[in-house]
Amino acid sequence: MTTASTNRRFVRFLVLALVAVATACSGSSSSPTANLGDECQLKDAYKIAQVGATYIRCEIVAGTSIHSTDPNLTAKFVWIDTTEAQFVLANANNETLRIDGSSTVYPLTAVAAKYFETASKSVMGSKAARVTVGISGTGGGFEKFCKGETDISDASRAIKSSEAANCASAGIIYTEVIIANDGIAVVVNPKNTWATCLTMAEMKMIWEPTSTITKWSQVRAGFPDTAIKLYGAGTDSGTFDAFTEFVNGKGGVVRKEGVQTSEDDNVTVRGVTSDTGAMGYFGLSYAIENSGSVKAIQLDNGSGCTEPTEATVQAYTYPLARPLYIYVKDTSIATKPAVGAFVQFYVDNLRQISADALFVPLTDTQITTLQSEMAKIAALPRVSK
Amino acid sequence: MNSTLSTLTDLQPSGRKRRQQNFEKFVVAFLAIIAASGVLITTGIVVSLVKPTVQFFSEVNISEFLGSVQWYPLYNPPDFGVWPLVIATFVIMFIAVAIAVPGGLAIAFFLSQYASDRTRRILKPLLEILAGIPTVVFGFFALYFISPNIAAKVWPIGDVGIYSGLAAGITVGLMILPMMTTLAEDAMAAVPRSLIEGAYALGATKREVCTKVIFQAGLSGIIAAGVIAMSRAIGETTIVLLAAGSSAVFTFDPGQPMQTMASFIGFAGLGDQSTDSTGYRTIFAVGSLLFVITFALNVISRKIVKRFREVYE
Amino acid sequence: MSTALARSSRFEADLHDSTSTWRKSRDRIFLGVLWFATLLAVMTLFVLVLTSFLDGKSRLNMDLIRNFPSPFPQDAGIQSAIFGSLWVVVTSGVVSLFLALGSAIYLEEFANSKSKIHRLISLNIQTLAGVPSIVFGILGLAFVVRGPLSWGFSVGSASAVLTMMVLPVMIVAAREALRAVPSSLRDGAYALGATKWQTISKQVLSAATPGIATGSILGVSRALGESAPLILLGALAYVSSNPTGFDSDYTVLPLAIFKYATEAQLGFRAVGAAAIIVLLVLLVALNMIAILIRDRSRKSW
Repeated sequence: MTTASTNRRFVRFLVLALVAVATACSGSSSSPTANLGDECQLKDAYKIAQVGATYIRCEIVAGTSIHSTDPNLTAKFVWIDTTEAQFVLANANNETLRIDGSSTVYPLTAVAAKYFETASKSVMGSKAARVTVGISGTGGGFEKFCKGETDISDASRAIKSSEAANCASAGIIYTEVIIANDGIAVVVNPKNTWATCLTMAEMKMIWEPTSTITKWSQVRAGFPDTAIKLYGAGTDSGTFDAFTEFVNGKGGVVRKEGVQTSEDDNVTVRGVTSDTGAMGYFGLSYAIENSGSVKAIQLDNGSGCTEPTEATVQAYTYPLARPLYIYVKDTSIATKPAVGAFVQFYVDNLRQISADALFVPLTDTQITTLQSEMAKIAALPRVSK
Repeated sequence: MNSTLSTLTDLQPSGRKRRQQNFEKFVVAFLAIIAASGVLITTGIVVSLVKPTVQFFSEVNISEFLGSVQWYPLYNPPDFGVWPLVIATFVIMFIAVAIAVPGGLAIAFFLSQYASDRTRRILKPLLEILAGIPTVVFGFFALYFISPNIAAKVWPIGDVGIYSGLAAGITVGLMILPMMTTLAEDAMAAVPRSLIEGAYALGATKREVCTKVIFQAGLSGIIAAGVIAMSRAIGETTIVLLAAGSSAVFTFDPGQPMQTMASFIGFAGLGDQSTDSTGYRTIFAVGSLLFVITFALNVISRKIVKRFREVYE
Repeated sequence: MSTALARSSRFEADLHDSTSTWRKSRDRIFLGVLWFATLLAVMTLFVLVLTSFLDGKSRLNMDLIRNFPSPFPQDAGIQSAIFGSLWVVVTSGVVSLFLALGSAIYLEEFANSKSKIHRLISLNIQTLAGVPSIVFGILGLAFVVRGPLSWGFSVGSASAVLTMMVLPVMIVAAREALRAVPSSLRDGAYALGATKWQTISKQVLSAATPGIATGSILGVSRALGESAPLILLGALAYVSSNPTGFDSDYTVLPLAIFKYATEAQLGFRAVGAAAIIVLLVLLVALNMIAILIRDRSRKSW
């Protein structure tokens, strides 16, 4: 192969690649589906498909064709803002909302962000608000939040007093919002037929710092002599903190020997599936996603064996249930209308968002609390533009 | 040569020549400043590490840090003995270097003495692509391929699980291999052709030229390359984080999960704990230790390199 | 004449003995070892690419490049990650090449190799080559994102930190390249009346270009593959637009790959694997540019 022909081939490849990239970038985004309802007041041939506190979603009536150059009119559905929200969304001019924090809460917030951006784009077009989400961890997220670098902080635990003091001294006032419930599922290998329900006392026996348990037979009489292999979440994660607090009474208190910790919950899944006597724990969404290869056990803290389900986690009857939080910066709500709009949108569509992200949604009581928090947010002064 | 130059400058330089000389003085100064940027970066690293490290040692006894063999900083009650991390770092480094240095030398010999032009033209780009593969990809490669197929099957001691220092070490070695090859090749290229051709003329085989001539003559460059490979192995974060787990147990057995200093920093830095806690400040303490070790390693290696450097021409 | 040759009496004996079969078998064993090592490297690359391709081929379509990150596996794309990576890598590649060349030229051509400054700088560079990437993340967070520069979580900060990370390797490679230029070339130029800088800029640099090109390939490849420090520097997991300037939010391909591989939903595994393939294609493209430069400028003595 001569250098000249190599060069020609390379140039041809480069041109093709550039053309490919150019055509790829001119694509459009997709939109979710909705159901039928009343006729939409603001636009002909549309029916109301969803009503939220700050918007109405109108869907084009099946069989209707619209001839118009206005993209909002020819879209399959349109988000129409109402009254108070009209002010908010209409002023969300090309703003960027910055969110960072826990990687546990990330899937939920990312779904909310995706839907919100779609909504904002159909109302505002090119001036749509944008959302960015990072995964620096709950602690790292709080650090950035208290420095004013982010608008919203995702957290898998409540803010610590030292972190709250940091925020206070930096003049950052925030609103704490419980956004979802999470259960920590304890899983065993599917071939494990004996441990279908463990008491919290037995869990403590296995996982406490002074534990020397190496075989299932030491846990309960009648259990076979299989060796126990323990897999845990990374010691720097909120899941680890929550699990150790629930089982042993204090965060970070757990046996040091005999546990394989992992950053990647998918690896914990692998570990549990590879060993008959293995036991591991991680967030409920991983258990749901891998329900074919691992088995979640029931836990009994005195009121009977409870399976980790949406209902038991919501009611907090499952012993290892915990809330997930977002923290919203009050000053952002005042100066960046998109922030208030986003939080409102998040809350309004929480059921859909939680279902899509495989999270357990809030109970009605929790939503009532949420509404009062939302009212507080809505009452904050706005800066008009 | 010097006398010729001084004769030249003795003559009155023309205006153009003078401007050229002034320009060159400026260039030298400019370049010196650029070169000093390396020192600036190091200073920056030291400064950003010092304050939290000092704070850490006011909270944790340095005798525990250097004396204890239990490392459980995020447990309750915490243990801050750093030795499990240090041992793990060196174990994984040895495995990686054992693969990368001989391997890199071998491939470099192959490329410089044995391979045909066509082979070289195919092989070099392949190696460069291997060098460019992100550490994340190598990490998952270690976890999903090396660990079950190689580490678990090869290691005789004990029960090798999903995470092992061995899987991480092998993968780090494979990752550094192309870099070692390139640097070794550069060192070999610096050996003057006259030496090599002289050896061939004397009837040496290719092997003998490689092992007796090139290796000896290029030794200083090869050692320098090896030291860079060692430093890179010590500092590798992502692969070890993904493949060796996060259990910092005091052991010399690479079949067990291990946590090195670098992977601990990565692990703790990206976690959920508060940035204002002693647990978080362990990052800086371990980071300082890592920096000191790397520095010491480099100082020692420079002395060795100086001993072996042979100057030609 | 080097003492290296004289050191081995076995070697001398071998030279006189052209019929020994033991000598020939050593030759063959040696060659076998070399082939083994080479095959090891090639097989590693092959397995990596193959497993990624098999896992990701279901998602290798235009949608992958066209779409932005999405919490839904079937929708997820990596457009913002591709452009983010390009912005960050090209910037840090260019800047670090400039800085590396400057430093290498100074150290090799101008500075007295025995001086304290020279030794200090050299030692610094060598140490920096081994500093774990995450420490650069901490450094960047303290001095570039916040602190004196305060560039925030932007493409500019990422480029600055990656430049610092990549610089040591590039400097080492550039120095080796400059050292490999025979001094006969320089001496000839001086004899013809050229000044030092003229010699360097017109003769030495062009002669050292192949080695420098190799060094920049190594550096750029490393920059393309980093993820952990960038998380600290604000590389996002979810961002739905491409960077428009050095102050833009961004994400990079390795981070996207990491995120997709650790998600609960199994559908993301294929997206991550497909993203690996895209990253490799990008890598090959960047390498080919550098190889072109290297081949064009390669001279033999």
